[in-house]
Amino acid sequence: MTALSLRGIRKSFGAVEVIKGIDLDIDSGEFVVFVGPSGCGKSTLLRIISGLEQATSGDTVFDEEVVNDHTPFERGVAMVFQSYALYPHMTVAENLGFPLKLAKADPQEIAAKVKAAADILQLGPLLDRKPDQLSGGQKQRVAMGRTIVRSPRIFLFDEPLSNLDADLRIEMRLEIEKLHKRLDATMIYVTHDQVEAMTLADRIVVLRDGSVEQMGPPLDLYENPVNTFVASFLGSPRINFLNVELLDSDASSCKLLLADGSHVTAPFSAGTASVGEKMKLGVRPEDLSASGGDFSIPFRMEIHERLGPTSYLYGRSGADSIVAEYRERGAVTPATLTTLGVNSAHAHLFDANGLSVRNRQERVS
Amino acid sequence: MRRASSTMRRLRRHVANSWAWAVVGAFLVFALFPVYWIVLIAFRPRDDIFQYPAALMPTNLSLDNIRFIWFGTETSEPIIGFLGNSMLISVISSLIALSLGVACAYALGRFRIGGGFLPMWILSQRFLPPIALVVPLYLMYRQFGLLDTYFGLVILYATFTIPIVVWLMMGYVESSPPELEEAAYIDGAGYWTAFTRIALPVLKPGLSVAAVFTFIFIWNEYVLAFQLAGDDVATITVYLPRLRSAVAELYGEIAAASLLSVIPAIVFAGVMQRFLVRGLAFGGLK
Repeated sequence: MTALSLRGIRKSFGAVEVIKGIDLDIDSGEFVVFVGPSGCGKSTLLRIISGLEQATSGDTVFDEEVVNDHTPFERGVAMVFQSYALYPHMTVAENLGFPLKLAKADPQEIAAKVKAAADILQLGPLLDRKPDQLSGGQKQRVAMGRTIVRSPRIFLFDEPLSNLDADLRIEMRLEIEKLHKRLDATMIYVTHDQVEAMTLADRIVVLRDGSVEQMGPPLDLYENPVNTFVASFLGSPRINFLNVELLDSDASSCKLLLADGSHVTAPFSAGTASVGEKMKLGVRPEDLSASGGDFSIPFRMEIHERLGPTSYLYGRSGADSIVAEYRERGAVTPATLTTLGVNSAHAHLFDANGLSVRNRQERVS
Repeated sequence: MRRASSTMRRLRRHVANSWAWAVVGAFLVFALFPVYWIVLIAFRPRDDIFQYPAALMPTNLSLDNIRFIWFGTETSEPIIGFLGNSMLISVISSLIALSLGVACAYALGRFRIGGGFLPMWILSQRFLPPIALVVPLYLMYRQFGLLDTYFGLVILYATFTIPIVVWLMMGYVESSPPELEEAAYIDGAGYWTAFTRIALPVLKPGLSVAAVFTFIFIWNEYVLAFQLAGDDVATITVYLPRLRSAVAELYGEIAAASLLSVIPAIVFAGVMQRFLVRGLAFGGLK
C-alpha cells in the first residue's frame, strides 16, 4: 500500500528553484533514505512532506488523500530534527508527553504512553531530567521517543545523527533500524552520509540540485549507478575513475585506450558510445586486486594504509588517482606491485556526459 | 630556569591583576561615593549636614529625616503615596510594553513581517528626545482629559518603552532556534500555543532583561511625569524636587527620600538577575 506520494513537487525560494519537480511513491512500512550533498534539496523535500514548508506546486498525497493544505499535525507525521529540538524548559517526561498533552489526552494515558516509549528507548532513569542534563545520545533518544508516543503515520528524520560522535552514531543507527523493525512504520530519513543511507534504507533516493538522480534498493544503486555522480556518492572509499578512450566496441566487448597508452579489452559492451569517444571507466576499490582480474591497469603505488585484515593502496594510474582494496597480509612495495587486476563484471563505463553506458543502453532499448 | 620563568609569569600576572584592581577600585570609589554621601546625609542630624569641613565618616546617627519622609508633615505628604504611584505605573506600563513588545518582536523576528523596514520604523519612535514631545502631549492630554490620570501615564510609558522591548527581544528571537516551535507544530500546537508554551519560556532570560530596562526607565522618568502628572498621580521623581523649597534646604530629607526611592528599583533588578542567570543554563539543542 502506498503511504505517501509526491506528484510533481516544486519549490522555489524567491527566484531560486530548489526542488525541480519530484515524483515519488513510498510504500507503507518502507524505510526510504534521501541522500545527497548539502544544498541538494533533501531537507526541503522532507519539510514539504512534514507540512512545515509549502510546495510551490505539486501534490503531497498521504494514503490517497491530498494533504497540501494540512498542518503537520493533521498529516500525522512525527519528526526528529538534526538539533533534536527538545523543549529546554520541560523534563524528559514532559517532552515526551507534550504531543499527548496538546491532544488533551487523559493524564493516566499520557503517563502510560510515556512509560512505554521510555521503556523502548531505555529512558526510564532520565524521565525527570531537563534536556541540558542529557548527553548527545540521550537527547537523541528523547527526540526519537517523542515521535513514538504519537504513533504517527510517517516518521521523518532530518540528519538525526550528524551531531553525534562516530561510536554513538553507529549505536543510534542500529537503534533506528530496530525501531523500524519493531514498529513496522513508514520512515523517511535524510542524510548526507552514504553509510547511513546504505545500511538503513529499503530504498535510497539520490538527490542532486533538486532533482532525483536515481532511486532504488541500496545494492542496486551501488551495483548499477546511472551516472558518475551516483557512482561516486555511494561507496567508501569512493569509486575510481580512469580516463579512457573507446577504440572499438561490439555486442560483448570493447577495447579501451588507457591514459598511459596501453590498450585493454573489457568483456562488456560500450553500448551506443561511438569510437573515439572520451569515457570514464569506473572501478570500485574492492574490484581491483593485486593479482588476477579480467584485465590489468598500470599502477604506481604511493601509500599502503593498513586497517587490519584489509588495507588500502593509494596511488596513480597515469594521471588518475586510484584506491585499491588489498586483502592479502603480506607487505607490498611500489617495486613489487606495478599493475592492478580489474574485476570487469563490476566495472562501469560512463560516457562523456557521465551517464552509464548500461543505463544509456537501457534507455535506448 | 623553567621555575624562574613561571615565577616571572606569576609575578607579571599578579602585577597585571593589581593594576586591574586599582582601576576597578578607582572607578568604584568614583561611582559609589555619591551614593555613600546620600546614605550619610540621610542618617545625619541637620546640624551635622552643614558642618564644615564635612565629616567623611558617619557621625551622630539620626532617623529624623527618614521619619519626616515616611510620615510626612503638614506641608509635605508621606512618601508612600508617591512610591505607590510610581510602582503602580511602572509595573502596569512595563507589563503592557513587555507583552505587546515581545509579541511584536516575535512576529518581526520569526516571520519577517514588514521586511527590514518595519523594525527600523519602530525604533525611530525613540529618536526624538521626550522633551520635544512635552508641549504637544500636554495639549493633547488636556483635550482628552488624560492629565493627571494613571491611564494617561500608563499608555504614555508603555508607548515609550515598546520600541526598546521590540528591539531587544528581536535579537533573542532571532538567536533562538525555530526548530523548537516547528517541533511544537508537529506535536500539534498552533501558532499561539507554540508561542506561549515553547517560545516564551525560551525567551525568558531576554524578557527579564527587557523587564529591568523598561521598569527602571519608567521608574526614573521625570520630564514627562513632571508635565503630565498632577497631585493625583504624582510619581516619586515628581515628589523629590518638591522637597526643595524657598524657605528651607531640606538636604537630609531629600537624601532620605532619594534612598527610599532607589530601593524598589534595586530589589527589582536583583530579583530579575536570578532569572537571567538561570536562563543562561538552558540547553535543549545540540
